[in-house]
Amino acid sequence: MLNTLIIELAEAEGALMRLIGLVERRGYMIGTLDKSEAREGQSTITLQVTPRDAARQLDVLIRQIGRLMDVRAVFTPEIAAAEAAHASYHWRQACPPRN
Amino acid sequence: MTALPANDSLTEAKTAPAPKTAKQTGAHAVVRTLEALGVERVFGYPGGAIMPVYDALTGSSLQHILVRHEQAAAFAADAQARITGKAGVCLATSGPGATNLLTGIANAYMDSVPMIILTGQVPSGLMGTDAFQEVDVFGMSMPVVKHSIIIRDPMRIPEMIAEAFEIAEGGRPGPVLIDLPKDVLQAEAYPTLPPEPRPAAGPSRASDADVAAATALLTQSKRPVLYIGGGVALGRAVDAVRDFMGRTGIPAVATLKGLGCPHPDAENFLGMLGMHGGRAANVAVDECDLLVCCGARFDDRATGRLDSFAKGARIIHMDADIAEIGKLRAADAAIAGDIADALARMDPGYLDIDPWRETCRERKARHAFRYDAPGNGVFAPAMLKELSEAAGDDFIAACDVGQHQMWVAQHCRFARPESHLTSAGLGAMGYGLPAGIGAAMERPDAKVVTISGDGSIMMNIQELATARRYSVPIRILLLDNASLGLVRQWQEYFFDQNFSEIDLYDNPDFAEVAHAFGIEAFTVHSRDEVPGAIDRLLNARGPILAHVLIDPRENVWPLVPPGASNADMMED
Repeated sequence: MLNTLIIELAEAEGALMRLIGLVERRGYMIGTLDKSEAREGQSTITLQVTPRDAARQLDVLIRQIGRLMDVRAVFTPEIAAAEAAHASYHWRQACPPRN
Repeated sequence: MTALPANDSLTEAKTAPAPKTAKQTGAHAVVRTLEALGVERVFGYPGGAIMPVYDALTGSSLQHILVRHEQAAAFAADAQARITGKAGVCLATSGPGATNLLTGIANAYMDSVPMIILTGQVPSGLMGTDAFQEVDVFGMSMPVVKHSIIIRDPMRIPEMIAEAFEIAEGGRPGPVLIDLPKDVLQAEAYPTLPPEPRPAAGPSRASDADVAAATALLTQSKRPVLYIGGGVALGRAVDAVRDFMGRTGIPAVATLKGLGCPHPDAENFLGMLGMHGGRAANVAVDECDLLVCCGARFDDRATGRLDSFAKGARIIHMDADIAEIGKLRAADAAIAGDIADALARMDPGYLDIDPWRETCRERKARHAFRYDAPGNGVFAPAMLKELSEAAGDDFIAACDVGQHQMWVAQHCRFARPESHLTSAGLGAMGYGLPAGIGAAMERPDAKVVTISGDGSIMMNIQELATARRYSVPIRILLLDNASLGLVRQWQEYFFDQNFSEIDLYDNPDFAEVAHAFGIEAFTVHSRDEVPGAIDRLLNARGPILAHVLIDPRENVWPLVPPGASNADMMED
């Protein structure tokens, strides 16, 4: 099953490698990867991912991505941007903040 | 004998405080920043790329502990962090120094321990050229760090190190690696230091609706169980858990890392669950209708076969890290954030669970561990129980990995979670000795005992030199069964008694080894020597090692076979 993830990522050294590594390590194959040009120190990554087995849950992956310090927001096309901003805020509260 | 050239000037240069006009470098900024952030001790080992920092350490208030292998620096810093709740700091050079740290970094990551790892790196211009002692530790460590950075600009050193501490200690703690290219360390730099340590942000407060939903599940339950993990201690929720247990009377079980969170004498505490958990704990979880998971993560060693774990129960999952909720088991109610706060706000009133509580208590009494082993050989479970009871509330066990680790978890009494230092998630043999050193340096008045086996101790035995060098008040209880006991036990039951590569018949005489390092040591051969040995260990002022010979056939019971349900445990 193909899932699309949209990630707002800070332009920090290693940020992309960390993101890709996490997605692979947590049991997903990356089908396509698109990175936007950076604007104001941030770029948008669009990934199409497929779980390696049926037990993998996308919402868990989304929260694991949301834990990364360089990730500003993560959402799927089904989640409106406004909701994503809220969810991201929620994750930052649960996880350590980054100034 | 030829007279050596006078070296007064050299000595003077090393001991004299740096004049105010001295050139300040990135390395000085590193050291001054650590001082400003309140760091008192770092564990490390010098080498080429990190030498500027070692140069800047001269005259610093930081106490540098020279270990004999970088892995030990990480383990010692980890143990200190587990006791204080503040990030431990370790330091090594590039290349092999950095790779030697990796096991220790992974250990801290798996157990959510706040740690700062400073690694030297080859100069920026040589990075990516396969330079001497260059490895990409930034890349290599990514799967086992909470975060990592390479500092490229010496002017940003204070700010970036301060931020690393905030990340390491905030939310769900973890290790943060800081890679320091040598040219950045050597560059002249006068950055502004962080004014004072900034407290890490606490976890969020659960919403009223989430607390109400969890409380409603509690009031409906007839057979609830609290499942307590390491997140309780990390979230400073130990008192809240104890208070909650007292208020509600709900029976509780603990994971390996959760031990010490419930009061050890609490009558509703049923002990450790999981692969080597007690029957009372595992059966209670198997029969419960509500599992209240506090800071635990449904680890396979705790759950056994996941689809049969608490199979009839609804789940309340409380964790500071929202990514843990629903990872392995769906939650019926979730509290992502401050566990202590949420527990304090959960007031289910009177719970009609008296019959359940009685069943659990009765089972706890019926299946209590027995210590009446036949023969005159040392029975390790009994010795560990007596040792921890004799040490009292000041007992701190720094455990290695293997059968002895499980015996410690089963039979020792832990007044607080920080009384039990163990490599839980990673299961890293070699943790015990350096962890004991880190713990004893931080708490010299406590009764710190490294409990190790003849397999584990050899993984970091060089640290006897560190214990001797700093006269660390560490007691080492070495349980020697001349084999890799836990592997042998699995081979006995799950590999048709094909005992492959577990026989350590050719171990050295460990008491003699300790003597060679200048450490007091003695050997215990039989049960009647145990009381005297415990006295001698606990009353020692410096490092001491008791080499205790035990029966190689002794096993850890109960045991849940791999892949089986916790209810199907094997017993002696």
